[in-house]
Amino acid sequence: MINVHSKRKENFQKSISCPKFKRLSGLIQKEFIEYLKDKVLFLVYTLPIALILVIGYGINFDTEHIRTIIVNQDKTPVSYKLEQNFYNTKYFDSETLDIGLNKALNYIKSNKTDLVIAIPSSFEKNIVKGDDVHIGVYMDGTYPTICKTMDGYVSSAIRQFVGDEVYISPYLLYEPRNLFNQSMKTSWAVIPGAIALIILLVPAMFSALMIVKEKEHGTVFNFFSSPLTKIEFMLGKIIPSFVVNIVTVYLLLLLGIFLFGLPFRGSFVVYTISSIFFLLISIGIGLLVSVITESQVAAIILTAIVTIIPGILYAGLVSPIDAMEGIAYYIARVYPIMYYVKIMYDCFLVGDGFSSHVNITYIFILSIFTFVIYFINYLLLRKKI
Amino acid sequence: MINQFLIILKKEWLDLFRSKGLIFFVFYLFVINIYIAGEGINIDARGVNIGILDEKGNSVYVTKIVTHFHPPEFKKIYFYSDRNKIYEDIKNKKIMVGLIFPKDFDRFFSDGKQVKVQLLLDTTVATLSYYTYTYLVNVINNFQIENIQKGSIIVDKHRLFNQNSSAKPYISLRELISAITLLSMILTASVFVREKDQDTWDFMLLAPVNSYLIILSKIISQVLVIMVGFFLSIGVVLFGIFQIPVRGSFTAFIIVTFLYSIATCGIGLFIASISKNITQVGLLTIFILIPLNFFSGGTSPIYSKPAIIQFVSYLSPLRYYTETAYNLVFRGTEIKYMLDDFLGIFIIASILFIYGVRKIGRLF
Repeated sequence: MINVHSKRKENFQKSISCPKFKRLSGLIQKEFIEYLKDKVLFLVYTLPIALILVIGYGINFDTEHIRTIIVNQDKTPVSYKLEQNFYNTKYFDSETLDIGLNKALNYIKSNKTDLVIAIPSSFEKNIVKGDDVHIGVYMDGTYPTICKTMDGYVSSAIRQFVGDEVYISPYLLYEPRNLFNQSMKTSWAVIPGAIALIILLVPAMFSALMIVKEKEHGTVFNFFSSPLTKIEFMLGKIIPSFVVNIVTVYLLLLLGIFLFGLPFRGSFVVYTISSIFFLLISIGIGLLVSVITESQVAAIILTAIVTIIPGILYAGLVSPIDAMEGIAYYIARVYPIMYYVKIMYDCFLVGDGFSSHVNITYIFILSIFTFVIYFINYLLLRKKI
Repeated sequence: MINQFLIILKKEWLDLFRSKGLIFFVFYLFVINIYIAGEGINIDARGVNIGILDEKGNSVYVTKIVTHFHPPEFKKIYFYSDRNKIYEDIKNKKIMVGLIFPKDFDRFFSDGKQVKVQLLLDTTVATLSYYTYTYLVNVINNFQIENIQKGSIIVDKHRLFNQNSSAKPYISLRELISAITLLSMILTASVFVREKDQDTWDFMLLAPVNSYLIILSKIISQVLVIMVGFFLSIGVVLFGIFQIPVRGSFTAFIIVTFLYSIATCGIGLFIASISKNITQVGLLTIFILIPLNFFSGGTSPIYSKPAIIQFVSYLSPLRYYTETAYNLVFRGTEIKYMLDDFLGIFIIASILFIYGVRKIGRLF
């Protein structure tokens, strides 16, 4: 104990008179000791793992088991054939009910079903005669995405009926070749974006209290009265946080490859460089919040607001970034996550690396973001009361 | 007693209003963010560049199909004569999708023979790829249904409650729900942790006030802030700017929102009770919020998810709230059909609330 004490005292004395980097290393040591005391390191690593599991397994674009009611007023062999296309498939959970259309529509209204297929009474007769026939399709449009998927499935089922059963008629198949994600796996499409989101959220939250905590506890006066420069003080905060969080960057990479089976077609160097910049941006956001707020509570709320909601919106996980309009279009471009997400997709699925000028441009943009955010931090950080 | 309650309420509000930045960001989440998201975020194919390769040259059917690729879904159509060039341009991000029609497309199609169209899709644009894919499949399916030879099958499609599948009402309600969830959790958690962190618990301990009353009034103070935000965003953005009608009972919507914010405040209370410092509050909030957001339905239906997630989602108050909110705003569902959701949210709110109060209460 005495030993530690005298050693610290020694360090302190050295730090006053000694070269800059010794002062800095003392500060960094102090930060690490605080991390260990606070026991937050456990959360810093378990949180990203839990999040990527949740997002990887939880989001899927596949809509299956659509609750379907078929109202068949025709009850003829041909209409049964149409019905069959809504059974025996994973897309529809169908039920044929002997009820009126209005009652069936009421099921949609009360959220007991998603889809009503209405086959009119003269269905077979008209088909045989070659007259026009109408099939009524009523979809719950509450969730537009789900509704459109539903629309597609219904068209497919009816097309199949048209092609297979009734007519000897044009038969058109489409043969999708999904470049870069051959089997259109949702997890492949989601994981690169999820990694970006996690590297935005966790380090920013982790770093958000670094300075404001000292302000609240009054220890910031140590900095005011010490020979530390602003840059040294900032480095003393950034370096420990960077060291702790860079581990997450590779942890997520490993989980993506080995757990979710993503290919890593791109360049490891591109992954590393862009991740370093983005991690620095994330820490920089946390630091900025810490610099401008006066209380820890305000700092975490502010961090949550500037990272969680825009992060989810602009990482392209739930809404496509390239389809945005209006102010959202510009926010997506001023907010750094978009560029990093695009590089992540290249690293995992495309694999152009440095040969693509888009990647180089985006890395350059990230570097500018990094510079700007730390420059603002430098300007706003005060070394006096 | 009521007097004490009001004093604590006032104290919490004073705390909140002293932080101008915080007020701005609460306003941002409830009004500005919802407006920006509702106005600008599309959840369908938008501005996509498409490449067409017609191997025959001037195919009649291809010309017909191409007429479907119009703005705003599609921005530019490029015509190719070389297969490799299409691949190359998809790689360079010049086009996102390519369609290759074989030489004998017209002949085979009008003869009623099987014919294959190749669809090349850049899937690295994640969600946009999926929406474009759905759109293209719809075009091709509809083209076939429309071009059968004798008679025709007319599919009368009705998208109930939102005929054009406009994203605006859906997105703005989704963002409102996110704002309520995020703020009620984090505001409540921080109200308690701040006292722990600044050692002002001691004052509370010494005060001749029942500890449950303190906890209750602290929570109610935050619930009321959330409700003010809710009315602000409903009034200004949803009713005022976007003119989204509420088809069901507005009173029920208010009540269920109130219950829901109590439930999420309960989660906040829980976070506060297990966190040792404010960093942990922040990290735990992310930890709980993200799964809640992705498991509540809305982006993809709950019944399409793996069984375990479906089960877990029964424990999430957000699941019930999402259902009821969309039921009330869009479907205009009668209340008698939503009793189970009301019950679910009520039970979860009670459990979380009682658990949180007890856990925090033990600190007194």
